[in-house]
Amino acid sequence: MNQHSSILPKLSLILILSLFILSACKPTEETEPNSSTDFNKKIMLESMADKVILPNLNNLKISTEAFKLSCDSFRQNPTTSQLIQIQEKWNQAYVDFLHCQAFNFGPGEIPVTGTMAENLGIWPVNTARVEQRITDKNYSFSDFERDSRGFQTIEYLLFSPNALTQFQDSLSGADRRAYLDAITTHLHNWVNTVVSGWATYRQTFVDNDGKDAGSSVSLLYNNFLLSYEGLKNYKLGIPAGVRAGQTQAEPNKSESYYSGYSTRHIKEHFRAIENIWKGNSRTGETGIGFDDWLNSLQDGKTLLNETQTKFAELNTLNNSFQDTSSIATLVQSDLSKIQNWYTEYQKFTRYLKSDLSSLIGIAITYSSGDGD
Amino acid sequence: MLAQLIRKFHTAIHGQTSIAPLITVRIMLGLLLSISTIRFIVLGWIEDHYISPVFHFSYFGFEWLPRLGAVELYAIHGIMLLSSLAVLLGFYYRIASILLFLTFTYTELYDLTYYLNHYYFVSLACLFLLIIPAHRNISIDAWLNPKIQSSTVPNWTIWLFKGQISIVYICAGLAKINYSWLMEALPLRIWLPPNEHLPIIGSVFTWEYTPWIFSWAGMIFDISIPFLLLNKNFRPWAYLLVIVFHALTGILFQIGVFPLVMMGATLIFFSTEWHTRWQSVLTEMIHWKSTFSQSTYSVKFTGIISSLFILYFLFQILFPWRFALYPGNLFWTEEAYRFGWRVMLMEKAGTATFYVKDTCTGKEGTVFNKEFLNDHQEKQMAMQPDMILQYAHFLKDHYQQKGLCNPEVRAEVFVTLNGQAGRLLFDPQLNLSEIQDSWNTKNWIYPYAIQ
Repeated sequence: MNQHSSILPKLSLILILSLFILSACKPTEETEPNSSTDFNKKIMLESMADKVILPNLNNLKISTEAFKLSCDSFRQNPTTSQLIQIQEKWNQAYVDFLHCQAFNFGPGEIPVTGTMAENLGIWPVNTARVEQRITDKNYSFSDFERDSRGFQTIEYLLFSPNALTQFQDSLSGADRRAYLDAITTHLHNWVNTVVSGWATYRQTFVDNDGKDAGSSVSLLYNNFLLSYEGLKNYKLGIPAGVRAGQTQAEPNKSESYYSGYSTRHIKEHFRAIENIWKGNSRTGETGIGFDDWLNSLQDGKTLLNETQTKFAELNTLNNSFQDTSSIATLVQSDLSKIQNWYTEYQKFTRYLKSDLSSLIGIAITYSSGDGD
Repeated sequence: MLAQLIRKFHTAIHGQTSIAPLITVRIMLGLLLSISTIRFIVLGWIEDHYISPVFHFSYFGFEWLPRLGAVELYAIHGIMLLSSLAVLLGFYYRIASILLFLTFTYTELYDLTYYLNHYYFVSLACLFLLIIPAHRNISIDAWLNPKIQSSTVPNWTIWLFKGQISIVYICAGLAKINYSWLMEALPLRIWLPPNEHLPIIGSVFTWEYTPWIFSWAGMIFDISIPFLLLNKNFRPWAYLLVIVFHALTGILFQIGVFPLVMMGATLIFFSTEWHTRWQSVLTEMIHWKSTFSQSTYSVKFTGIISSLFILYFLFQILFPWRFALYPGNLFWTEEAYRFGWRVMLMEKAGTATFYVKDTCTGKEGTVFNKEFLNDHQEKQMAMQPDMILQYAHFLKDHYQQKGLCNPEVRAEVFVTLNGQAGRLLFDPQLNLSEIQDSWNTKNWIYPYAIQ
């Protein structure tokens, strides 16, 4: 049978040669080639680590430390002025946390225990469970009852209507302060573990400069996207009652419900998202981000411009909401405005999701599995 | 004339040839499948792919497939591993090859999300294994029962593999003959540059002409490689090309064991002498002595086999071309896209937002996809119309059970193809729960061009 097919290889060889010659002259003027020659993922990762991730984590460490210190003095001396002081310190730490909310990989994720966001950023708070744990003096945090600890549980303890009297109560006040102290220590330890982990992980992060699942770019991007979708769905969507199956708005499911800081925290979270996309530091120092990546691609300019415009529009929309009016009050007074806010965030998703991931050619969502 | 041709063909495919290539294929496939099954288990994919998701996508026509639970799935993978090892050793070969085919194919059919052309190929190869007598030499079965030993097999057993592999390559090559692939070097123009981090070869991918060279070379390789492998003068060079090509794609793309599968499968093209030579090293190592009886292996029903052989290959040759029966852009509608050896042809992604409306109250809500789908499922669903339909039907049923009154499901789906700005796949007002999937044209999909 080989004799019959011996002509075919010769033919195909000629075909190969001629096509090679053809292909060599093919890519010229008519189609402008992709000029992505100058984009280097390693340099982006370095910039991300040094301008975005590490400074934000350091801020979080400092503010958590400060919060913990004032917590200690509040435990000794639960006065009104002390309470106001730790409320402020809590807010500072939480704002810093929002800027680290997307770093749930590397040291930000502990096997079995889960991610930093899952462990420290859960709401709505299960107040009954919190009260039960206070009574039981239960300070063991190895279980998965995460809705009874972390930033938002602290917020409940510090900002709920009778916070001060409850802390000062001669019978149960000490237990309450002890629980506050325990979850603050837990949170402080978590943050410290993450920050100290990054001291060595920074190099791993920069060196892992591939594009497949598990590469630093993929980890950073996926967590960035998850963070944005979490902001949209859980901070705006659920309180506004837009989720399928919800029959009405659920103001009590908003973030920072007791302090009423939800609106400003949403804006802050959005700022964190924008900073990661741009690779910029919180102080405004520019770094290398996804915008620069798009800019390096011939086909990326359109998306770059569109996304920049969208960011600007959404910032204007964000600013149309007063910091002082909480999501909980807004969904009751002006539900359609909040629903519109959600819709605008929803419309923006594809600019960060499919359009971006497709253009930069990164194996994005395959945390597991192969392609072909 | 025709009768003569048929008779000629008949004697050709039933002529006897050495069993050696089949022994190689048996050992190689058994080995690869045991490795890939272990890999699958170790990576935790049984959990991620099959157990964790709330919802699974079905293959068209396989909606009835029972979805077994965690324990059974681990058992099935255990059976798959043991039967691949048994195939490798030729131990209870017939039963083992049947079990291997059934377990492998069952897991492939479990969820459409994970469809891969090379899994389809492996499924077909397992089907061949259960038909062919690959255990009649250098196997435990042939050792325990020397009477079954045979030095020869009918030609068709070898040609099943050669024919199928050729179809895979040629179809993959022909599919690359399109404007985007050849003229715009898409999607390679998107996929190659992010490989700049690779040691030594990394800088190659930042050169602006590399995507064009790779696009053309890939197309030419796919179309010509079966012919080059068939020719004994070109074969060593052709196999070198096979190794280089698949090693390169293995480094560049996240494609798992596929490069190894193809490097192993193409060994079938080598000469009898080549197979005998390496097997003689093996038989010496294991002190194997063949005791062939005079009667060589033969089958009755040669007529039926010839007909099935022809029917099978007719199907394999024609089925990939069914796309021609559908109007519109194949890459956009994906009607008849699967089972056609269209491998790594396009960069496509979507963002799909589903809305469920209670038709009694008029209240409409947004679905949070992550509640029902894992990342892999969401990504695949968001760009494939048939999966979008399935998901919409699932959502209707789910929310009906949750107490919504006669729910209506619609979706706003933006899809980006080869880096183009996302476009609407279909009318966001369309009630998807009323549309049934079928072989018919999905005329509710917007045309790609007019937007």
